[in-house]
Amino acid sequence: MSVSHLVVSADDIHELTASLTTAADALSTSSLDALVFLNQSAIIASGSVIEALGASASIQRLRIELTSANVETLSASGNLAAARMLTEDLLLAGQI
Amino acid sequence: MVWSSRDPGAGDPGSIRHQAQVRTILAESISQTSVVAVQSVVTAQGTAEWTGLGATAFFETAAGFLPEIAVILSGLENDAAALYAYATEVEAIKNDAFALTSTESNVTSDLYRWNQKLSSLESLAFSSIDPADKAENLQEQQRYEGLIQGATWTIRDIGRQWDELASRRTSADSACIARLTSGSSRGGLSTASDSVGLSGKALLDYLAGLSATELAILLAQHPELADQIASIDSATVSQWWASFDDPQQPGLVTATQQSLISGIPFVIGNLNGVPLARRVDANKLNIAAARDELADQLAVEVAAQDPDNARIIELQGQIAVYYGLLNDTMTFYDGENVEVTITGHNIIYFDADADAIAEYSGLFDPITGGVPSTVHSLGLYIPGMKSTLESFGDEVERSEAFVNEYKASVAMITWKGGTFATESNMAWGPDAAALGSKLEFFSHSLYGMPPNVDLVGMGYSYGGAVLGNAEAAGLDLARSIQISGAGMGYNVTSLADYPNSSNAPHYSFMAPEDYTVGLSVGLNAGDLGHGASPVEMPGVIRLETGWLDIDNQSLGQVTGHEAIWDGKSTAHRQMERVLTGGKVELYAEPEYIITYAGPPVATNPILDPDYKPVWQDVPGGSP
Repeated sequence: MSVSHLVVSADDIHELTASLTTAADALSTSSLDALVFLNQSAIIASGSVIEALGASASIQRLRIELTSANVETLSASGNLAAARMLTEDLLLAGQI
Repeated sequence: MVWSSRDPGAGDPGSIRHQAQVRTILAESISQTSVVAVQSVVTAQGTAEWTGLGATAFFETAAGFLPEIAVILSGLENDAAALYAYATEVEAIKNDAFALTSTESNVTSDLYRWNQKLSSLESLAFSSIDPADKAENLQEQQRYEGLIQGATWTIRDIGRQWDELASRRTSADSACIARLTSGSSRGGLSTASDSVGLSGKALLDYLAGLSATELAILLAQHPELADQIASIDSATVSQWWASFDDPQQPGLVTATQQSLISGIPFVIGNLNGVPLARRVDANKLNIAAARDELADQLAVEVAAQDPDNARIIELQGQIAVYYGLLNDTMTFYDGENVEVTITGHNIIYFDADADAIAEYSGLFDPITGGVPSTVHSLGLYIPGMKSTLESFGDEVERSEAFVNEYKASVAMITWKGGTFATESNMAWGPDAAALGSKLEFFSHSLYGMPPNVDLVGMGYSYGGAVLGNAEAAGLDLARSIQISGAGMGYNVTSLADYPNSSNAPHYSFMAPEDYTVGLSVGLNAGDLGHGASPVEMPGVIRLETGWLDIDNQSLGQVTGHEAIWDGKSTAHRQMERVLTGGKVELYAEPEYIITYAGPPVATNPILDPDYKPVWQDVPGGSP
């Protein structure tokens, strides 16, 4: 880790990653299940429309889940960097 | 649901609107929370004092989420708009159909009534004799005939209106489907560019048009595509991959290539024709995923709180192996023989489910990502039976010994492309033949290798049989050595059984007292056995295994199945010479002395004080 990393505090990075966690939560905790059609939904519209909607919903659901997971991963990597930085700070301060 | 021409408004507009509303609410939530949060991180890059490579990657990755989320928002908003419009039109059709039904019912009722009246008037006309009454009756009949005619026209017009409603419903369905399957809804996965029916270059080009997320979605929905892509020939893949190179920045992994690596690492990590260095990039992701999967399993086992759970130890061991593959550091040599340390193993083939792995020991060419032209010999080492993912590191160390000795002029591949035999099936020919076919297929990963590089097969024990089978399947080699090999390949009887390597020099050796392979080599009983013996088949040059320490013969001869790997031994030098070129010592044939009291006694020629080695040059090798 280069010295230049030390000009920012671990808390700053935690703040950044907290935003990402919020972003990931909003992506993953929204009513994703509503995007998946139940069987009875076939009575609400033409079968061909329901089929197209179901396929789109499936793609969108996967897209949301993958993006959410990627955001979470970045957040975790930021927290890891912050933890390492904090350790270095403490080492420099002679507390470890 | 199937609507009919008599019910073109079938369906539930309220429920359709509800589905639209779900998407609108979700889009608003993502827009107001996720987009704002990610944007705040991206904006912070301008003010944060966190610098360095880690920070750059962090902010770049965060910025990359914005277009991904934009596609999600576009899809949700597009679908919501499509559904709102569809609900409105279905509702309008439903209302018009209701009105038309009412009109049709009234007209039909009138028509029935008027027909009844007309029939009655016609009956009266026959019975009446009064001319005035007859005239009035006739006038009435004509009036009703007019009404009936008008009603008939109306019914005919109603039929036309039903047809119009059906046409409107057809149009509404089509318009909604078109929007739901468009790029606005599905991004690169719209049906306009559907992968169905594509193959070869067209399929590869389709993949290159997708984002990493879309690639992952596509393979999740169509896992069969993985095999389809893997079967594309390496020349086509190589040209396709190179078409995304940036001529201004040779060697740089471009955005399209990175999307492919990130989106479908399982495919790219094992795809013949993709530069080896990029396969390594992809396999790092695959190994990390496999490690995480094992970590999840470990968490479940640990939660069970069973102190005698052997599975915990097993999982911890496997996780440690994957951790090492990702984090170990190794030192190799560049073209100037300057040491370069890399982090993480060069895994060029990885399939945890298939128990398969292959590692490249050496540096890659920084421009091509493949074998550098400074390499003169590329060894392809196939270890023996009972090789596992856990023991694979020990096998790689055997390969690294050659690289460390010859530095930039030698690179090695250690290949364990599937489940290797154990004692129970070590002599089963078809199993080794199946692995041989996989090895031959894997060799296509070396497409485009510089022409000055000699590919040298090195099969040890059971791995010798796998190597022979690969040659029988078409593996092309500059030369090979059977290291205490178990056989030349299932049903192989001569070098002529190797379609592409029959003219390559083939070497072999086996040490005295090798009871692991020596007792069964050459066995051929149906499916039991691995073909001809490597130390007896005509055309194969048998080499001497010699001394444990070339410089200290007092330590004795190499004997058994393992001592050949001693770096100071004659046997190891023989392997080095076959790999790199140079003089090899031919096998010293024993003489058999007839005795009166027992079986013939074999002499041990190298123990004879007058023993003089017979040398032979290995063709090819270092220039």
